[in-house]
Amino acid sequence: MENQNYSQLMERLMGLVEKPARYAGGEWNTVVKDWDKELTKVVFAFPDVYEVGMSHLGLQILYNTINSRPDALLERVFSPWHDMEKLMRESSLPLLSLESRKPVRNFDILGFTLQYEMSFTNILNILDLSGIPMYSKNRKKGDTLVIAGGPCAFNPEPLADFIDAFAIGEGEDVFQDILEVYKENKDKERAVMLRNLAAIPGVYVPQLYRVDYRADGSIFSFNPIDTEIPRKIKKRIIADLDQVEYPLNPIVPNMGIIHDRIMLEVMRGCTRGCRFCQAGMIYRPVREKKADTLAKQGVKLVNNTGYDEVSLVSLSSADYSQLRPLIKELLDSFEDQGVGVSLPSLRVDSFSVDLAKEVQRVRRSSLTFAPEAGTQRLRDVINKGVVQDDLLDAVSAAFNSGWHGIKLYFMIGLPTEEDADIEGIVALARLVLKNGLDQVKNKGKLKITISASSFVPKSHTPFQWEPMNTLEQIKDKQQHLKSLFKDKKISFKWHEPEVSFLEGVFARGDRRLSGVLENAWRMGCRFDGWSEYFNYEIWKKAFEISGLDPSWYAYRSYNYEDILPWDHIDSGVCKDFLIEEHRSALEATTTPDCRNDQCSVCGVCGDAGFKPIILDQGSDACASIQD
Amino acid sequence: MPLYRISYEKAGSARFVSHLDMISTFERSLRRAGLPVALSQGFNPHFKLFFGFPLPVGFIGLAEFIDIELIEDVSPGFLVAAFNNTLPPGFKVIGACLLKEGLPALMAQVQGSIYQLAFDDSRFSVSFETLQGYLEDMMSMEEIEIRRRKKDGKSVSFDIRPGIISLALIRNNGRRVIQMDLMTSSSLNIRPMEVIKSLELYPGLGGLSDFVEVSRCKLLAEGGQELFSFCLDPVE
Repeated sequence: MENQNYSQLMERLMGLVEKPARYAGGEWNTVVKDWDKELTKVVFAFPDVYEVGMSHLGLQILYNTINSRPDALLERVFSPWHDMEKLMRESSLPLLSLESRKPVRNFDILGFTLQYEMSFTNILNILDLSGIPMYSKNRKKGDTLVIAGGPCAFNPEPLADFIDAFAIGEGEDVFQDILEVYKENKDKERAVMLRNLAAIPGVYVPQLYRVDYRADGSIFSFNPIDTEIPRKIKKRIIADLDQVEYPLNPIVPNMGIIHDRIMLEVMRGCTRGCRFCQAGMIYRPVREKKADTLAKQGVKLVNNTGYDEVSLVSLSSADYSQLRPLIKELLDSFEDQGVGVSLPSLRVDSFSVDLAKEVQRVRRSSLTFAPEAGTQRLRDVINKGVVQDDLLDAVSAAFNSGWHGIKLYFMIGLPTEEDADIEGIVALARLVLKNGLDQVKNKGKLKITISASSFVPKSHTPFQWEPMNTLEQIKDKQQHLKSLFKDKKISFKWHEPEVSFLEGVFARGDRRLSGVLENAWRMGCRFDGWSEYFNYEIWKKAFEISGLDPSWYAYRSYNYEDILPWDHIDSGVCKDFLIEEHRSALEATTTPDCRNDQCSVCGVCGDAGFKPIILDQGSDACASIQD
Repeated sequence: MPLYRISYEKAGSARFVSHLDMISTFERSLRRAGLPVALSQGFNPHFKLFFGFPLPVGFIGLAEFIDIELIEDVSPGFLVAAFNNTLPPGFKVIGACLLKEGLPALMAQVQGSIYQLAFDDSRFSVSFETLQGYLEDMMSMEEIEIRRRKKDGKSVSFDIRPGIISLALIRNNGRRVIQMDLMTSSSLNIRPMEVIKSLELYPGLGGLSDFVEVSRCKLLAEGGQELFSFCLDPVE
């Protein structure tokens, strides 16, 4: 079938599915380059539905980075929803890009972003719908090069057999290097291309490594196939965010998406050091952007997009040292335009609530805080620098400012958790409720929502050696909590334990899991992060067929000496620091925030000349900078 | 404050923009253009935009309408250019004018629509003349019962015949086009797909609704008047 016919067929199918704008393209600020020109053609794939993928800042950043090059183009593709997939398969229509409506397999490079383990089957589905050989070893010269990056690339092993090359760390620079190497090696054998890609700092080519296992399934050795291939792959990082181009003409979707507003990134990294948080470890060190840079970018973004809301995004925006002056400057420039500023998440303190009150343009019904654990002991274990009074101050300020709803996020199944910690969640919720009853006038509207997710140990964190709670333990804890929440004003929500269980399996999995992924996909698994499509029975069968036991992965307790499946990926944070942090956790000893106090010597700064950029106190918070 | 009427085309990728999403599409376009739009009062002020009768997702609109209240006078030609520089691909503003004062809301002015439903000649074996005969047969009926789903989910019987003003068949470049003049108002609104579903019951037309490309060519006011006939000055 000719491309023209593909496009026409797609148009017709769009008339038959729900939310066809997911596939239509043609949004404001879309870049459509001349397909017939000699360009390196890249397609960026987000392995979830459009509304989720378009809410991802990384997509907008790379869209701008690659399309700014005169010698390349970057188009987009998302996972088709079930209705569209069915129609595409019935009419043998291959997956098409949004911009040019060209088959994905006609692009030179297909790049996935890996945001969530439960989207892995969608990756296989995209490869299959595109007609690209699913396994890396089966792709040859002329086949699309399949690459992947994002946080889940920090443990790339479960996808090792499907991806030709992983980009570890921040994508802006490494993507450029990959393009250059691709251009030079385009006409060479795939094996040569892969070797040359592996020479780029931050690029991991799984085919060039060999894993040997012991009889008990643990890793005996993990080595490059020869000495030319690096033993360790060090993450890439942007030293100074003020110096990199920020996407000032982001695509503005034609349909409502999850985060439907301007995302203005104020900093990268987080200094808090919560021990369960992978993002807090892998995006170190913290690098703030200048308020002046941000204010200018904010104004341009409003003019270029027409959005009426600027969200100041980062892992913990309330920690951004220039937040107040930045917000003031932005609000002054937007006066009379009906444009507001928002914060994606609040820190647990009254400062954050006051800020939220000041900037809100549209009153949202509730405020959300994340104390994460119910007792001080357990909050110290996870190094969540929050005490009970912080939370009570915060909710007090919220009730005082007229909010009636408070949402509190907790995790259950954390290391060292006891019954007292579970009951602590309930006690805390009751304290918050009492606080509300004392202050809120319209008591009928008062509502406390408690959300408990299940702890999943992640690679590159101090808890990477820790086992997950068993499914039975988690279910017991959920039941226990449920039985304790009697008050009608408190509603209790929890996560599907089986989803968290599988997330845990893949978060710390090895490359033998590739087969399981393929089995699950073949038996129909898609969109596993969507509870209406998650099917645990199929997954159990998929493991059975592969002869692997998921609980072996999830419940596994590693020793410090063990070779971890992701040990070859270097996040810059050294293992000794993670071990120290793990030991401190077990003793419930906290490590101070390196923003305010001394350097905790995590290793990221001394290493490779990275340093934290915190604007209001110079940049000498880290003791081990080597110039 | 001055109220302007804008007519626009919604085609290409824009035809998949839902009516609800159109509001933010136009708001963002206006903000990009920096036009002096009036804001509503209240806690959550928004632009004063007034839409015409919703166009279903996927339909092409050749002359849709929207009214916009500004806080100062601008030339209609300027308005057209400002929109065309800031609307996403597939939208095209084709005319604008300043409206007379004291008119009913745009939504209430709309009384009828002309639709064209096109499909490939080769798709169905039914001849042009036979199809024409089907349409004439429909027009000769006293009533045409269809099932309509009410808001509570209950399906009720509904007669669409009083809302069908005319049906015609046109030949156009290897395609057949069924033109429908239908009532479009808050008291009686006939959807073209309801007519097609009834037409599908004739021999040889099964599945027709999956293959038609629907365009709304025109929106009409009371007595078939043009919606642009309420302008103070000529349309630019």
